[in-house]
Amino acid sequence: MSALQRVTQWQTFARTWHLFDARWQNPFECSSLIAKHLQGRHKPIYHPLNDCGDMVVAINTRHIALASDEWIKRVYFHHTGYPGGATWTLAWELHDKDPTMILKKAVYSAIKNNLQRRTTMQRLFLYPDDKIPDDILANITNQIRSPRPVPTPLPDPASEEFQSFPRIAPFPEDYVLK
Amino acid sequence: MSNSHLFMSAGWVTAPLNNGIGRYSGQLQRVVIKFCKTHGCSRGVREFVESNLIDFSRQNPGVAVYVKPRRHRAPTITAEYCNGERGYMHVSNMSRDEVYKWLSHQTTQSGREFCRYRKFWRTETPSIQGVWSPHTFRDPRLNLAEFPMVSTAPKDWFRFC
Amino acid sequence: MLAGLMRNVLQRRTAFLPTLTKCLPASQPTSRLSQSSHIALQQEVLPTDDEIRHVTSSTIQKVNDLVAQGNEGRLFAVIHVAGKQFKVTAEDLILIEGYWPPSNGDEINMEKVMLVGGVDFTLVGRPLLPPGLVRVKATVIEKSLSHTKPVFYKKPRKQYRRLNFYRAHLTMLRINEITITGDINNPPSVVQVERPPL
Repeated sequence: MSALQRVTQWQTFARTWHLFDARWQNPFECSSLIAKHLQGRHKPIYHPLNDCGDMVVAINTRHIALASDEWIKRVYFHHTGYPGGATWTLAWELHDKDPTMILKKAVYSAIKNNLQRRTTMQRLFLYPDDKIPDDILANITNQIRSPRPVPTPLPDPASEEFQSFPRIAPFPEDYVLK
Repeated sequence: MSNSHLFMSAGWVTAPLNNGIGRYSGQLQRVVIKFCKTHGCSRGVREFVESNLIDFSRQNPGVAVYVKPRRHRAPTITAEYCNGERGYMHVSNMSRDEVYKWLSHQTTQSGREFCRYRKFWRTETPSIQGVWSPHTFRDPRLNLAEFPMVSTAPKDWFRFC
Repeated sequence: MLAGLMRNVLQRRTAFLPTLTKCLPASQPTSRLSQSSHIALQQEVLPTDDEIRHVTSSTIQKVNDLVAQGNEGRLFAVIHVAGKQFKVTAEDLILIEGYWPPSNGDEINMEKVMLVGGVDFTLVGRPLLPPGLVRVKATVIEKSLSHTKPVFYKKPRKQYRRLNFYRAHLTMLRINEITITGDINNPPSVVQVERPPL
């Protein structure tokens, strides 16, 4: 194998670090997207026997958005193995305990159950907010586009932007602003 | 895991002597037809020898055909190929057409040992435009980007939901 | 040369895609109206129709010139044979599974070509390239049978199980040459198609 072929091999199978911003994203929609990148299924060289999965860093997992009333209707089941050891945890309770757990479990269930599942999950890094350790941030070279748009909140009414926004007509002087 | 690989080896598509580059050359060298002159199970072979054998050897000038009468033995066809392998086949109780069919089937072989093909495609030049790498088709603007970026969802995002 | 040109075209086209802009620090006021904003919005200049037409015609002309000078190099093609697609280049071997009439020594012209590429260019059919544009020649070099495949099926709880065996026909083809014989983007106005023998 020549030096060029060796470098070509390294380059082709080099791992890429992707960033994923989970703010306002439905974790059950984007879990398949993250799982696809973790397993390397987005690459044309993908084969189940070659190790071409990428690393994914998911941030802002505290700010995920669940659809409709799933925060109170979705239940996570766990059994300790002992009699009476079954527990049912609501999604909002689990999110209170660990804000990364819902997305982690969603990605875990999006990966097919085989011997590679736990190894693949080790390539996923989850952070509840946008604070990433510097050594991990230094590796990131790509960002996965979030599937859903992030809604823009209304600015603070006291802010300059709100005040300077053009109005059709001013409020009447005797109008009481709440 | 199955044990099927213990008996049937797996292999790749190959052709002997770069066959087909430039021209095609038949790989069958020699055919030996053995049969009995009296037994009923050789009847189809006898009819083949009487009526079709001359035509067969004229159509395949590169194949040497030997006919061996063997008293009270089952009829067989032995085919020898360029690579030294032999194909051996029992043709007992076969009709004239069946003998003709299996004999012409032997002429189209390369004599290679049977195997299970892993792929139906073989190339010496796997890539012409270059091997894919993570940098292929990468947006050059990402080289100077600072992460995290504000990502804009596609305008028709609701179609993917 | 041509690859660089195509890369330019690609970069121009990516301007249509939704872009990623840099994240704003939280402390900065987000003023959408102020003209003296520190956000330097990149203005996207979309090419006009004339520009697109010019780039297209000059690219096609360059590929035509390349082929006319014989500098296209080794070509590869995606051909559609007997219900399957193969990516082939000259001196490749392919196997066709199932009954297929051609016999040993036959030289065959592959008619269904879906894609042809060289080092510098790729011609993509929609789905097939026009007949006569590309010649892919192949020779049949072997017709044999596959290994014995078992076919086992069973209905549970119904005392029904069958074990069958079969061997498929295999035809080995050697790809002899891939050449571009026609002008790109210049299809003949009348195409003569021979009636297949009855």
